[in-house]
Amino acid sequence: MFVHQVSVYLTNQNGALCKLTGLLKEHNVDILALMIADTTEFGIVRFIVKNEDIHPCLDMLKEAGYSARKNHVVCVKIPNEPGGLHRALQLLENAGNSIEYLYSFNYSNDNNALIIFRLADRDAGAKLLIDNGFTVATQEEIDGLGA
Amino acid sequence: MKQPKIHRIYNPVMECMERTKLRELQGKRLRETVELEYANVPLYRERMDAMGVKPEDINSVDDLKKLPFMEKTDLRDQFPYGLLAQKLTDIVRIQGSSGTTGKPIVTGYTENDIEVWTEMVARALTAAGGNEDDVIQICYGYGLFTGGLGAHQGAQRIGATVIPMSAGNTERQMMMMTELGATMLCCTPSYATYLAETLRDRGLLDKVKLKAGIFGAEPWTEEMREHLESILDFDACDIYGLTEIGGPGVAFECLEKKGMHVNEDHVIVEIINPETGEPLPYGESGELVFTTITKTGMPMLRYRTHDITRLIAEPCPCGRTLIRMSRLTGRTDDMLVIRGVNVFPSQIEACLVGLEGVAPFYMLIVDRVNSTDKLEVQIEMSEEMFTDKVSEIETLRNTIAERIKSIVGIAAKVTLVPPKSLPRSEGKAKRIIDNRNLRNN
Repeated sequence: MFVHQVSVYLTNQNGALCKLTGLLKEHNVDILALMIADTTEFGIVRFIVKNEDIHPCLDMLKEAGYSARKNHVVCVKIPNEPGGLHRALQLLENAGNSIEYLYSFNYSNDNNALIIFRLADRDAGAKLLIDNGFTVATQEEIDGLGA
Repeated sequence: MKQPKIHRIYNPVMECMERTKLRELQGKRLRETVELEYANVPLYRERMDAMGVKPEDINSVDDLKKLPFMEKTDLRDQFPYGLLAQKLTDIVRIQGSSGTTGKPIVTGYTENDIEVWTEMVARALTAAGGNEDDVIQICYGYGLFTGGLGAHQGAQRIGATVIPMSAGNTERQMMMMTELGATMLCCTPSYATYLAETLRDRGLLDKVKLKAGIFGAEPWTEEMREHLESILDFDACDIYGLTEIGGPGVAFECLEKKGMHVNEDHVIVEIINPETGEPLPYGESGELVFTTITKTGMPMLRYRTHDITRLIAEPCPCGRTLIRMSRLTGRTDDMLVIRGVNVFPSQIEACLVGLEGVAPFYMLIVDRVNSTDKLEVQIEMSEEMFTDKVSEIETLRNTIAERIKSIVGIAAKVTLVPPKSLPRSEGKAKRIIDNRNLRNN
């Protein structure tokens, strides 16, 4: 019920992101979704790749000297309609489950937007959303996206 | 306004003493100090015993080389009172500075020691042209650091009007300087430069009445002097000191501005080969070593400063017979002076120890931006440290910065860098990049 996310630490320098995407290209890694948290001093790039790419991708990043790690995040199918996202957020808000960050996929699925949630309490949040009629994407579904 | 080069001397008897007489006086005072130290400081007595030296063996300055050295680590290991040669009852003041690994070093002063120190600063201020008509603004920090109180005591001693501003708050410093008509300034050379540039940029220079400044607590260069004097049209003089030996005033420049006169009736100065410990002749460059010969609270015998310079034996046109030391050209260890604060890489390391997941790879980068020293500490991020959450990384950075602030006493920018990105070296790790160009050659 969760998908893998890769996070990479970047120093805030010109060309740092380009160097990273170059490396991913070189290893033929398809970026399915991506989000950058930027501060004045550093950035954290988080992205979703296919299951088969995760371990090669982490090894390759570490080899190249990056701080990188993977973790599990919830990928929720949000109906493509006004108020769709709000309903999910309201549920989490009412439950007091805070959101560290969220971002959306470059792809949609059956007229749903795919939104990645990084929650304070991941397991409880996923259950809450499912219990209230949302569906979450599996890694297998994600693997079917992209090229 | 720059002053006419008229040499004023605070204590002509001592500052212009014929050198053979001075050496006799030094020999006599050295013997007294060694006796005091041998009788009251177990650490030093043990060291002398180990070398088979007794106080009776010390009869002149020539015998100095028979004595063992003292180091900054001794002050740390004997912290706080192990090196006192007097009962605490007779100690009237504690001053101190940060040590090499986070533990501070402190030194105790008797009333006599405060008097000695005060006179040394009075001599320095007089040599720079100071007298009872001057209004002296002091923007060294007041507190354990010897700069503020040291300058204050000396300025009061020459009968000047003292403005005890302490450090920081440039707006207020400029306001007081212009409104109160300060004629002399005491602070670090980098802060003086910052003040001068800010006064110039604000168009306030025609309200400045400074005739001289004495600047110390950090190394500086002839280029900085020229820059300062070109802005403020005054005499910028160097002063040297260290807490262990008594504070600022151990050596000072006269208006010739060609080296700092060492107060040799209070300290004996040596230059040694830092590798072998052998004394070097006048003129050769080596490590500066001081022996106090009038302090009673915590005398220091052959204290190794780790500062590198040379001595100038040629007589000075000012009339003082006191030997001069050149500007510092470097250190034998890895100490940095940043905004007047002594910083050792080992202190930074001490700040990192105990933080979960922090790798021991770090680098200190010092720059001078707008005349102010900036310290950046780069720390390699380990796998455990990295998370996908910005807030956790920010918290870690802040924790490290706060530790550095409280242990080292200086604000630093903390940058986390990717693993293995800092240069590795075989042997001694290179921990410092100093971009300030403060070396004098």
